[in-house]
Amino acid sequence: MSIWIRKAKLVLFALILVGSSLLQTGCGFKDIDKRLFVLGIGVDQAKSKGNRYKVTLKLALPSGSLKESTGEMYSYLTKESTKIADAIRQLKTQVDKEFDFGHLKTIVIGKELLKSDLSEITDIFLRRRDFQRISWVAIGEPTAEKVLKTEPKSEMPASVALFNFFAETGVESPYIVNTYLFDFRRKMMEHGIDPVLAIMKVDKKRTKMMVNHSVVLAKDKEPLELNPRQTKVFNILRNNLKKAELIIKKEDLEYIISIDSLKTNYKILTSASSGPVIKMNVDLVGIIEESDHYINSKRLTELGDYAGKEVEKWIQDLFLHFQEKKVDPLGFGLRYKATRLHKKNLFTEWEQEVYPNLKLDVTVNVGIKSTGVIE
Amino acid sequence: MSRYFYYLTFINTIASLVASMPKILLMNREGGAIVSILISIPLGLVVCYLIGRFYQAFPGKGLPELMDDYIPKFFKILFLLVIGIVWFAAGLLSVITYSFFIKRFLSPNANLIYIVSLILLFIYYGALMKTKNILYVLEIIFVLAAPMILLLISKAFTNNYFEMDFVRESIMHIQNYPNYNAVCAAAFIFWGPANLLIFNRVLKKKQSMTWKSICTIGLVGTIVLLAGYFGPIGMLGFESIGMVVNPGMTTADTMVFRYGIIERVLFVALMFFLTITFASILTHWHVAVEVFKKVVYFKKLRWRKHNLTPHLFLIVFWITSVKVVTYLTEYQLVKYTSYFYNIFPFLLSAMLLVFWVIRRRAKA
Repeated sequence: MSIWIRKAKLVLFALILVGSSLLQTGCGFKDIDKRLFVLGIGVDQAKSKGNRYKVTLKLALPSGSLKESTGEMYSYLTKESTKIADAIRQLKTQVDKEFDFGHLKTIVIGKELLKSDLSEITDIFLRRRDFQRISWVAIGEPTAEKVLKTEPKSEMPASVALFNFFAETGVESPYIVNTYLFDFRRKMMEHGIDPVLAIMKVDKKRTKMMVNHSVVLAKDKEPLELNPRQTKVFNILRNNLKKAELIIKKEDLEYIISIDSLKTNYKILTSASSGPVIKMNVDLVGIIEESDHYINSKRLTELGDYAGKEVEKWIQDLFLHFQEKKVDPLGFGLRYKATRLHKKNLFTEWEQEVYPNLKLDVTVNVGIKSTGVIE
Repeated sequence: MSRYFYYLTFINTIASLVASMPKILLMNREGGAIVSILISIPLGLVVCYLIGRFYQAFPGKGLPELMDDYIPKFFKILFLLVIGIVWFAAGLLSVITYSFFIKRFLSPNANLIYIVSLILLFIYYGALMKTKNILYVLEIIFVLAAPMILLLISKAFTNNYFEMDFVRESIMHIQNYPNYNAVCAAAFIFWGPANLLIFNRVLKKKQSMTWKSICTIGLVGTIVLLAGYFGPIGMLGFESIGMVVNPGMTTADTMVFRYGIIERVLFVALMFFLTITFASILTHWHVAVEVFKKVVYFKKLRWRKHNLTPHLFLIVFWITSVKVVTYLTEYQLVKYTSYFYNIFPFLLSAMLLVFWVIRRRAKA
C-alpha cells in the first residue's frame, strides 16, 4: 500500500516538473534567428521639415561562421521623426525581425545637434532598460550617419570598430576621450563639472575613422572643441590614462618620452591674501622611446625636468583656455563644492567670484627611468 | 552567538540594499541623510543587542510560547496579530519590489501576476518547511551569494569611474538635521534578529551575545549602509541621483566586468540579489505563518493527518500579493515601504516592553 502511495507521489512530482516546463514559454522569448542585433545608433539633425531627429541604426547581419563571411556584414536603416523612440518604432515596420538593443554599445550624436539640448536626446537611452548605461557616447563628424556607415578595412565581424575605439580592450590612445553614457549623464546634470565627448571624424571616401579631437559641452554655453594636444593634456589631467607619450623639443634635440604611470592631484586653496589658487601636482614616469641624438644616461634628470617645464606650459595653456571660455571639464567646481560646507549660494560664488580669478600653480615631475634598450 | 543568528541578521541587511532603503536615504541627501545614518548605527545596534540578550535567556523558546506563560491572553492575541501583519507586509514589500525588478530588467514582456505567482510558488513550499530547515536554506543562500555581493560592492568603490568628489560633496551636507524616515530606513538593516521570535525555538543551545557579535553586525551593517548610500552617489552623481528610480540596480548597470562571462554587471547583480531577497521573503513569511498559527488555528480543518490552516494563510498571502502588485505603482511602493520602516520602531518598542515584562515575571 505504502509503496503505491510513494510511487503515485513520484509520478505526481514528475508531472509537476514536466508541467512547469510548459509554463516557461512566457517571457516573450524570441529565438536568436528572429532578432536583429543593433550595434550602434546615430542621431542627426533631421533634414525634412517638421521632424527633429534622423535616426540611423547599424545592424549586424548574421552569417553562418566568421571564416566564411565574405559578403556584407552590416546593414543600415534610417528614419526621420520628431522623437527617437518613434523613429525606432517606424523602422520596425521595415524589417521582419525584432530589434535587440542588448549589444548596442556606441551612441553617436551628429555634430549639428551639438547646439541643441543633449539631455533630451539621451533621455530615451537612460529611460529604457535595454540600453546599457555602459555604452559609449561620441560625436560624429560630419554626421552620425556617415560615421556609422564607415567600415574601416581592419574591421572584422564581431570586432566592431565603433566599440574598439573606446573599450580599451582594443586600441589605447591618449587622444581618445572615452565617455560612458552614465558618466555623460552625471556630468551633464551636475553643476561644477562638464562632460567631454570624443569626436569621430570620417574622411570623404568613408574608409577611415579618426578619433583625436574632443568637445566640451558646458551647460548653456557654446560647445568648445579641443585639438589633439589639448585632448591629450585633458586626458592626462583627468587621471584615466594608463599610457601617454610626450614629444619634447629641446634646442636641436627632439625626443619622445613614453609615459606608463600617470598621477594627478590638486587642491583648491582660497586665502584672502593671495586669492584662489589651484595647487596641482602631476607625476609622470616613463622611458625614452625615440630620440634623434645619442642620450647619455646622466642627462636623464635634466631632460626630465625640461619635459616637466614643457608639460607645465601645456597645462597652463589649457587651463587658461577653459577659464576664458568658462567651462570646467576637469571638475574644479565640483571639488570646490566637495571641500566646503554646503550653503545656499556656494556655487554662484564659485562661478562668479572664484573661478574667473583662479590661478593655476602646477608642478609636473617627469621621471625618466631609462633611455630604452640603447643609450 | 550561533552562526544562524548571523545569517538571519545579514540576510535582512543585504536584502535592504536592493529594497527601498537607498532610495529613501538618497531622497534625503540634501536634508540630513548622513546624520541619520550616523544615528541609526548605534540605535540599530542597541536594539539588536537587547533582542539578542533577551532570547539568550530563554534558549529553545519562541516569543509566542513565552507569552503563553507570562502575558494575558487577550493582549497576547492582539500583539501577535499585529506582528503577523507587519511581518507579512515586510515579505510582501520584498515580493513586489523584486517582481518589479524582474519585470523591468529580466523579462519585460512577462505578465506581472505570472512573475509574482512564480516567486510565490517556491515561497509557498518554503514557508511551510520546518523552522530548522529554513535556517539551513538561509545558510546555503548566504554562503553562495554573500561573497559575490561583497565583490560587487568592492567593485563599485574601486573602479575608475567612482568619483570621490561626488561623495565628498554629499558629506558637505552633514550640517542638516536628521530625518525620521531616513533614520528608520537605515536602522532597519540591523533588525534582522527580530525574526528570532520564531527562530529561537530551534536555537536550543545556550547563546551569548557578546561585544564581538555586536561589532561584527555593526561592521557589516556600516559597510552595507555606506555602499547603499555612497555607491550610487559616487557612480551616478550627487545632483542627478534624485532622478533615478532604483539606485541600487542602476548603479550595478554602471559597472563592467570587462573580461567576465557576462559583461553587464546588472544581470549578475540581479541574480544574486534575487537569491538574497528570496531568503528574506522566506524568513518573513515563515514567521508570519507561525505567528498567525498562534492567533487562529482551525483544529477541524484537516485532510488526512495534515492541518490545513497554514495553507489557508499562504493562499490568503498569495491572493493579497497578486491584488496588491497590480494595484501599486513604483512611486507608491517607495512611499509604503517608507511607512513600513516608520512604524517598525514603535513595534520594536512594544516588543521590548513585552520582553521586559516577561523577564521580570520569569525572575519572580
